[in-house]
Parts: sequence; C-alpha cells; structure tokens
Amino acid sequence: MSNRFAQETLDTVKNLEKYDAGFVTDIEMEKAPKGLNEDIIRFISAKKKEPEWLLEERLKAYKHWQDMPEPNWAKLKIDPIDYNDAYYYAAPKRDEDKPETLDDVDPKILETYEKLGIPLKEQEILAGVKTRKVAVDAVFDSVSVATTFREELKKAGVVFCSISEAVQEYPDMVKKYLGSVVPMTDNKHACLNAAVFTDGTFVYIPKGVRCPMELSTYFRINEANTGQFERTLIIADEGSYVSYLEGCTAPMRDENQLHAAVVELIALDDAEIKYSTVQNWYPGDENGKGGIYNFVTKRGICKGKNSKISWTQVETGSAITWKYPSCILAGENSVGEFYSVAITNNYQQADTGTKMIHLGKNTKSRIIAKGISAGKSDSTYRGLVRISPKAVGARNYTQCDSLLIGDQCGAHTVPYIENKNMSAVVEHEATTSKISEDQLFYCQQRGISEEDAVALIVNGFCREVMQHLPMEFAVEAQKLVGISLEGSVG
Amino acid sequence: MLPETRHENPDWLDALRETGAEVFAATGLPTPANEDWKYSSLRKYEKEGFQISDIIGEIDTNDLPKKLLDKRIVFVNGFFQPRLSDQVEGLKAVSLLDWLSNEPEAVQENLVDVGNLSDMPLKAENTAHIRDGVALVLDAGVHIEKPIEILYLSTTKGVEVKPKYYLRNLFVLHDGAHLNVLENYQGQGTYAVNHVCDIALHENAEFKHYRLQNEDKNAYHFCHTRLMHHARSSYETVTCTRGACFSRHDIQSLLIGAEVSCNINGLYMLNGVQHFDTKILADHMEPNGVSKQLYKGILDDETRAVFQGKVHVRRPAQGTDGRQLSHAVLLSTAAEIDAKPELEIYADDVQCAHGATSGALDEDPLFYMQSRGIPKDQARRLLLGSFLSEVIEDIDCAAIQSIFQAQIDDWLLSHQGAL
Repeated sequence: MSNRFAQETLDTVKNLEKYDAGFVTDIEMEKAPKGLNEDIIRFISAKKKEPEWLLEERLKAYKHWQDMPEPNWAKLKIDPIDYNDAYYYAAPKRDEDKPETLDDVDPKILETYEKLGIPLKEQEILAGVKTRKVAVDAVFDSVSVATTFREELKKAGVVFCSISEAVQEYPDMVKKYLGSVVPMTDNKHACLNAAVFTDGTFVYIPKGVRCPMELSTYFRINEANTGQFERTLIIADEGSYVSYLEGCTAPMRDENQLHAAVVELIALDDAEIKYSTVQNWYPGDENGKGGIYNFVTKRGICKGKNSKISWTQVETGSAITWKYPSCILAGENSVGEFYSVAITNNYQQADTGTKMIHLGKNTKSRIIAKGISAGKSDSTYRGLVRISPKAVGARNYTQCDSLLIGDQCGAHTVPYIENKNMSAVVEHEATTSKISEDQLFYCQQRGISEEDAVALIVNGFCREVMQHLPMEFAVEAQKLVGISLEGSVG
Repeated sequence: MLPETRHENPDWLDALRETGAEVFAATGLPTPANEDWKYSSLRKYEKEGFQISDIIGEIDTNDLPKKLLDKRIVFVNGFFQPRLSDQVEGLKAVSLLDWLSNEPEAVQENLVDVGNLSDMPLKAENTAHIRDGVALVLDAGVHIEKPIEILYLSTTKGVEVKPKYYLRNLFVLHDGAHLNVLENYQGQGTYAVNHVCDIALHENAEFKHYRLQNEDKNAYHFCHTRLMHHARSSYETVTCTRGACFSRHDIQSLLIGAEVSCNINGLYMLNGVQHFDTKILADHMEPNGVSKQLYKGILDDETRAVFQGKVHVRRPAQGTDGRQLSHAVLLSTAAEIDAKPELEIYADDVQCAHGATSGALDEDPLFYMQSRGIPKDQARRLLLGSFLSEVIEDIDCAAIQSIFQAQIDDWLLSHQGAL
C-alpha cells in the first residue's frame, strides 16, 4: 500500500513543483491492465519516457525470463506464483477503498506502529488513511525535508534521485552500470525485475566525497516509488563513502504480493558502501495466510583496490524471504562484510545468506549470521565462500548461529566453502541451540516477564549484528525483535 | 564365478537386481547438476569404458600384500577366497554367497531394504550386479574384540578389459554383539570398484569399523555405506584415504533408535591428480543420539577434496548432540578443497555445531621449530603428522592405531621432496 501511496505522493510533489498552489489536484493515475506481456513492458517504458536502449533491455529480459526456471534449490515451500495475476504498473489505491480514519485500520497494525514509536500522523500515512489533508501535511513535511536534503547533498555533489530520473539525467552512468553486477540472466526473479522494474534509487557519490548524511529510503519514501520491483543502483567513486539505509518501517500490512527487487552496488578504488536493511514486510497471519514473497537479489562489487562493501540486514518480516546479499571482491585488498539477523515466527520461511567471491589479492570477508526460529517457521542460512586461484592471501571468517524457540520450528545451515588457493585462510563455524533455561530463569527471577526475557536474550544473541546498524535503525530493530517473537513463548 | 552358477538363485534376489538395473537405466551416472555430486564429475570415469569382469587370475599368498592383523579374510576381484583366508571364530557367515546358501531368508531380510535407489545411482548399479561380498553376521551377545582384516584386492591380472568390480557387503550385529574390523582396499592397474555396504546394528551392538583405502592410483573407488542404528548401539569408523585417482564415499547413518552413538571420522593424504569426495549424512530420528564427524586431510599437487557432511535432526530427536568438523591443509597452489557442512534441525533441545577450515600450513610454528634447530622438512612433517593424528587419537585398539600412524608416516616420508 505504501508504495502506492508513495507514488501518489511523488506525483503530488511533482505537481507541486509545477504548480505553486496545485497540490490539491486529483492525481488519480492511469494504471496498466493486469498481467505481464510485452505491451505492459512497453507501457511502463513509455510511461517513464525511457530511451530506446532501456526498452530493448527490458524486452530482452522479458524474453529470457519466459524460459527461465524458478530457482528451486532453496529450502522453501513456495506456492506457484501466477505472474499474470498482478499489476506491473501500480496505480495508487482508489480513495473509496481506503480506510476512512485510523479507527478503520486493523488495530494490530496500529499496535505495531505504536511499539515502533512511529508518530500518529505517520501512522495514518503508513496505514493509507484516506484523509487527503493528513497526506498533504505529510507531504509538506517531507517536501521540506527532502529539499533540505537535496540542497545539502547537491553541495557535496552527491546524486540521490529516483532511477527514472537518473535514466533521464545521467543516462551514461546508468547505461554503464545498470545490470553490470546483477545481469538479467542471473536468476528468474532478477530477470523479472530487469523487465518490469518501475522505480528505485540511484546514488552516485563523487570522488573523495564522504556523503554528509545517511541516505535512506525511509526519507525518500515520499519521493519515489519503492514498489514491488524496485531497482537500486549505488556507485561510490574513488575514495568516497556512503551509508545507505533501506527501511521497511512502512510495512505493507494488507497485501499479499511478490516483491522482487534488485540492488547493485559498485565500489571503486578506496570507496566504501555500507548498506543496511531492516525488513519488516507483512509476514502473513498466525496461520500462514498472506504475506509478502520477498525475493531479492542484492549484490555488490568491490571493483577498486582497498574498497569495502558492508551489508547489514535485519529480516523480521515477509512470509518468504529469499535473499542473498553478496560481494564480489575483485579489487586488491577489498573487504566484504555481511551481518545478518533473520527472525521467523509462525509460518514464515527464510532462506537467506550471502556469497563472498574472492577474486583479488588479499581480499577479506567476514560473515556473521544469526537465525532465530520460533513457532512453526523455518530459517536457513545458505552461503557461499569461494576463493579463486588468483586470490592470494585471501581471508574469510564465517560464523552462523541459530536459535530455536519451541519444538515446531526448524533452523538450517547450508554453507558452501570452495577454496582454490593454498595461501587463503578460510574458517567457518556454526552452532544451533535453544534459549538457555538458566538465562531465562535468571531474568524471570528478577521480575522480567518471560516474553521480555526472551526478547532480551535474543537481542543479546544478535548483538554482534545489531551494533553494525546505524543508530536510527538499531533502536527500531531491537524493538522489532521483540514484536516479531510475540506469542512464541508461554 | 557367478552366483547363478553356484547356487539356486532366489526370486527376490532376481527381482532386486532387476529393480537396481531399472533405476540405474533411468538415472544414469550422476552429474554435477545433482546437488549430491556438485563437486565431482564422472566424465573421466565414463570415458575409461570399464566393463564387468568375472575373471579371477591365479592369485596365491605371495601375490597378496602383507598381513596387517592376525586374522585376515580375502576377497579378490569381488569374490571371497576361502583358500587365502583365515578362519574366524564366532562368525555365522563370512561371504554373501555362503550366507545365501545357508540362510537365504536372513539375507533377504537384511538386503531388500535398499532405500531410495533413485537418489543413489551408483548403489542402484551395484544392486543390479549383486554377486558376492563380505557378510559378517554376529549372533546376539557375540563379542569379537580382536580386530579382523578384510582385504579387498582388485587386479587386472589376466583381464583383457578395464574391469569393473561390484561388492555387496553386509555387517549384521545382533543385540549386544561387538565387532572390530579393518577393511583394506588394495589393487593394481586401472580398474573400478563399487562397494555397497549395509550395516545393521541392533540394540546395544558395538561396531568399530576402520578402513584403509589404498587402491591403485589409476583406480576408481566408490563406496556407499548405509547404517541402521538401533537403540543404544554404537559405531566408530575411521577411513584413511591414500589411493585411487577418483574416490567417492557416501555414508548414510540412520539413527533409528534412541541414545545411539555414531562417530564418523576420516583422514586423507592426496597427491598427483587425485580426487576424493566424501558425503555423510547423520539422520537423527530418536532422542539423545550423539553423532560426530571429523575429517582432516592434506592436499598436494593438483588434488581436490570434497567434504559434504550433513546432520539432520528430526522433530522427535530431542537431546541430540551433533558435531561436524572438516579441516584441510593445502600444500600446493593447484589443490582445491570444497566443503559443505550442513545442519538441518527441527528439534530445539539440541547441541549442534560444525566448523570448516582450510588454508596453508601455519608459518609461525614452522618458524618456531626452525629457530629451535629442527630442519624445515622435518618440522613440516612433524606439523602435518600431528595435524592428521588427531583423527586417530581416540582409536582404542593399539594395533589399528599403529597401522594408521604408519600410513601417515609413510605418506609424509614419501613426499619429503614435495613438502
């Protein structure tokens, strides 16, 4: 829902720019018919006034996609997806369908918002309440915020815009890097994204610039569509640094849909990209009904020497998570990091992990993955560490720990370790256990309720990952841990 | 000598062979597209064009390698050789053919449950060609503490084709029986051998099972072991791999009883172009089982080792303790190790852990030893030797332990130049 809202807002913002006082204009937009075919793709491309080459790429991807098999190697039970039963160019939700006031919104959703500390007005926006007034207020707020950002970023020379804008304004850069890290042939979901991606983020950090603030989709949500098929491209030029936050604090609470995003990161010489995600899409209800299919392809390449890419993710939402943020360590002395917490409850399934492909000399990677399963859920860590023959002096350390809460869930670890270089040192360790009775008893004995105690212990278990999150996220993520595990004990 | 010519051939056995043949015809040889064979390709093996052979050349005691233990049972090219073997007290049967002629029902009971053959193409192929093999059967309460050597000798002597041998081995230990066995795989020439080994450990049985794979460096060695663990039984195995240009060892340990203990360990020393692949599954189905896997190896030249271990803990298997370790030292820039230690866990009150490391020999201890006047060669040998010895440390039978130690020393000495 929020993406539709976001699109709506984006259009409002655009209108605002065009017409000084035109912000009340009805912005009901056109929508493409249901289904997926070449015409839809042409429609999307035309809507976005894309250049010919991009349309051709999209069509090529679509053609390829039709013959591609669904990836079925993950430990996931996925109901067949009807690709034709979806809108690929989403229109904002019609007013009549929206809840009249917050009272019409599912109280459970509001409860969650409250716990996350989202202010009331934002709650209304997130829940998609009809009242235009509120939305406009919010837009006003966001506009001011967005503008301040833009000014400041512009001063630093940072490009931070939607990918559609980037296609128009920086076509050379987009053409050069789009699909260079995740080619359309990579997997079926990435291929679908290449064919139908609607929007996303484009970031370019120029040489030697340390981005003055953390860039975030949370701030940008009112500025661009972060829809089902978003595409993110981040380029950090020589010696630059950027921290990017991707927050799904706007949980899409009433939808059951496929979310197939692609994220590409490119770090040139001495550049560093820190990419953090807190994912809290709708996980489905206690009986496993509904929820988001989160099939995301994220990959970064450390192209230049001494470059660094660091992924941090807290995955608590989605009915099914299929996600492997990876690093290709091509540059000499480049560093890849992956810190992950994946929490599953009820009937959620998560198959997540990373790939560290060591190509350059003295490349280093570090993987810390924590999986917590509760209820009837399954969570799998699946990772690959590959040391190529040229990666002299490569180093990898992997640690994955799983915690089981209750005897109806599953926790699995599937690491692939391929070492083709004698000078490389590769270490992997993993453990699986349950919450220690002693710790639980100790907490309860001191007056902490069982549920709080579990949240506390789990947060301690995840600490190594949480401390890599930017501050704004860390607080929220800690609360999310507690919320996600609600009802898993007692 | 085919079983058909020696004995009445029971219908069920024909049917079993037929099933094997059908499944293998449908599956064909596994390819790396099969997840279980991700890191091993059989293309070279296929090109060799091995053919089934029934010829057993004239072999006498002088052709046999030195006896390692007091008692030895000898198989040549897949068939039992009573003439070359010692008598062992307490065994109901020694070879499959003998047992088949004495107690066909008992054989049937132990042989027909082959598992899902379509997941195991090579076992299917073996099943299609069941002939002879070891069949060591111990009645309830029988203890054979002294280790027995089983020699599997494969030769190409007098054989015109590149031969392919099949062995179907059964170890059946009834309640409370104890057995201690060293399987010694040897051979000369270019041949392929496909062993399938079914082990049934009934309640409180204890089996110590050691393996020394020293096949010819041109040979192909396949071994598929399936282990049925009844309550409170215990199994300990150490496989030492030195031979064969290609070897693959599948071990399926099914812990169908409670409180079982299962230790699957291995060490390997590879050089030249050897390829060694181990796949282990410890499937915990009942509470309080303990399974441990420890594999250590050194890889020289253009060798490649694969370790795919999996601990599967099913929902009822509370109280499981599952451990898995794979460590490898690479001695050459062209060597490769691929490890996939996997945990699949559905019970919460468990302790499971795995670890995998690989890399070159640590320079610091080497420097330390050199600084104390130990020549580099010797220092390396000492370090590698102690690295491997961990696997055999817990073997409580001194005779077996010294056999393995001798193998390690021998390999390290013969590669002195390379080290």
